[in-house]
Amino acid sequence: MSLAERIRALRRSAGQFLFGMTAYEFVQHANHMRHEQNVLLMVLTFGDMIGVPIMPPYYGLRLLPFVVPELETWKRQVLRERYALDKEEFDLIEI
Amino acid sequence: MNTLYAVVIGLLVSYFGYTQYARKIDKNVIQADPNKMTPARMYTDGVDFVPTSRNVLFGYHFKSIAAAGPIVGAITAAALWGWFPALIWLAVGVTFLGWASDYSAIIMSVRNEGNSLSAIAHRLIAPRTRIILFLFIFFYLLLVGGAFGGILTDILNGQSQAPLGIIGLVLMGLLLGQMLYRWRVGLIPATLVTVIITFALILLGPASSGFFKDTVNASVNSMTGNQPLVTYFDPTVATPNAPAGTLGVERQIMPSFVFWGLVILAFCYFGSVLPIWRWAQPVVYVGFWITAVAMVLGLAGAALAVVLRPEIAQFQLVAFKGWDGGVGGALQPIWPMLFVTIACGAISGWHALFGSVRTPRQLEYATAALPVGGGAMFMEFLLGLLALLAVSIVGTGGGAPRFANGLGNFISVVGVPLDYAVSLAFAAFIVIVLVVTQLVFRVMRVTLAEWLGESMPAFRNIHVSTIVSLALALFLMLTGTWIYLWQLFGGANQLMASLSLLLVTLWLLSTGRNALFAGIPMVFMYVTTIAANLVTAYNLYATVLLPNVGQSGRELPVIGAGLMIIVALILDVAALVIGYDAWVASRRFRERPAAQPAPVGA
Repeated sequence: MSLAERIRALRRSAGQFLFGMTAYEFVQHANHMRHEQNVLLMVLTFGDMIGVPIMPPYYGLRLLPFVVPELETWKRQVLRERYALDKEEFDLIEI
Repeated sequence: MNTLYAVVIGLLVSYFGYTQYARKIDKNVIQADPNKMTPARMYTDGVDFVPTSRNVLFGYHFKSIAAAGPIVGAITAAALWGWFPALIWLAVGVTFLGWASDYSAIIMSVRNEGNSLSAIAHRLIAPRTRIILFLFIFFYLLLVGGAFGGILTDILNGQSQAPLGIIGLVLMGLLLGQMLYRWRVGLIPATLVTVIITFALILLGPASSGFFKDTVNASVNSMTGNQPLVTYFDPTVATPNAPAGTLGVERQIMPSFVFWGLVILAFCYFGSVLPIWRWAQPVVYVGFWITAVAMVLGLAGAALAVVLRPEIAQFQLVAFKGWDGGVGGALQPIWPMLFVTIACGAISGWHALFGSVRTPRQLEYATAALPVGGGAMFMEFLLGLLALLAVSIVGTGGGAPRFANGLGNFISVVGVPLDYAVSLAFAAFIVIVLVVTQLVFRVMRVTLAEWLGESMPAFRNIHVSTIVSLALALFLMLTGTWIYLWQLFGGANQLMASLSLLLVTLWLLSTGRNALFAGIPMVFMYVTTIAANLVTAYNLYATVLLPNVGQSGRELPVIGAGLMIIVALILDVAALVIGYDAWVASRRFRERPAAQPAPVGA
């Protein structure tokens, strides 16, 4: 690796480090907010897949082809056992 | 000794500790393999499990663990025993214990499908371990809330240049949240506007001093005709105009002290109950820039001071004050008390418990666990070292002002006028403590709801659990003795560190690996911390409870000391129960064949 490439790699690493220290938590929070909206929609339309009783799934069937790729991830996500320490706020506390 | 030598020692410790010890453990014992799937890749969901660049994660993890702990611990220890023991413990602690605790907690979580330590404790030791863990966390948070709340109230009440910067920080935090999440302004312009205005208000702090002192404090104090609300005896503070070593002052709690204490608690209340994007997160973000600028300039100044300003680079503080830092009947033997007074810069249970919740779910490759977990801990050590240097070059003064003067002197080396540099350093100290304190109550509220919510549903209400948490902390702020509060907080923290190392040891045993690198630090921290809590309980009994009990007007310190002694004993009993359960679990693992033998080869 030439000196110029090393310097470029170093600058990229430093930029990523700074991003991790500053903007990354906003990115994570935005992802969480979007995820909460998605979960709400999914529960309303496909809640029966995880045992939540819902209205007859007419709209669910119309939407099904669009959400098939995400179904497995969604079920794993919402059914995963969570502990109190998994709460999002905990990673913000810096002692 | 001068600052350049100390910085060089710090960098050498970090380099050799990382390359010669940590990397070998990673390669030979843990056998981190980049080809093995990590939870982030196996369960990618774009929310919790997200494969992330190790550089990004390094920055995120470092920011998540580094704050007021390493700073306050180093300041306090240097005052009790001198700078030399503090420096040795910081260096030895991070090299043999600190990185091992943080890194192994992360790697253990990676190898257990990204589960948090409490979930692993439930499986490896016993179901009740999780309940006891909540006990540790709750008291840990209560003690740190009381200790930090007391520091902040003292500063805001006594240092009238400070409030303007704090008010600016809160307003700019609110503005930043509004700009980012409602007005959809980009992060860079929003950061520039809010951080620059906050800096300006911090630097204008001295100009507003008269208003807060002569108008706000004076009018609040006039409500009682400038008479204190309560007077009580604090036996841990040096007596003014008395021979050296004489301790004890009559502390007067003025109405303005209570006023600023309530202001802090109101700030923490909003931080706890409002949506995180509205208050806590943007305030933490703006505060981060204030402290980051001060710390980076300070570290650069500490390294350059020998060349540019040699007169400030020499240590003024005594190197070694003695094996026992206690005076006035208190015991402060270097073992075990140094090891709980300096917690986070050397080793911290909090890092292992909470740093391991999210980071392991985002590691793209298992080989990134060492640079992220271990590397961040070595950087935190440098933060503790900077705090130690700052107080060591200033020979006199109390904790926070001494730190601010020292750091201000370092910042002035790189060209900032001294007055502004000291203002910036002081603000950085306050901000770093303040943002931690508001989050403490947010987490305490969650912990209380999880812990007691089932038996007492009222605690599930965020306002009830927050107000109860705030009331308990206020009680400690008004009745507790600061130095013992801090050492008990260190005790709770280090007991969590030994618990985390205990879990790692059991996990290594259960998988047939050599557990010594975690087992030896675990035994040391376990024994040390239990002993330290007993010493603190004795100190509270001998120097606070006994001299004050039965004397009229001194009920507050008696109640506070009694409460803290009970907390110290509860922590030790809880640690003994966990130790017994772990012993039973380790026999279980030793008696059965290894469930998952270590792979052959590096």
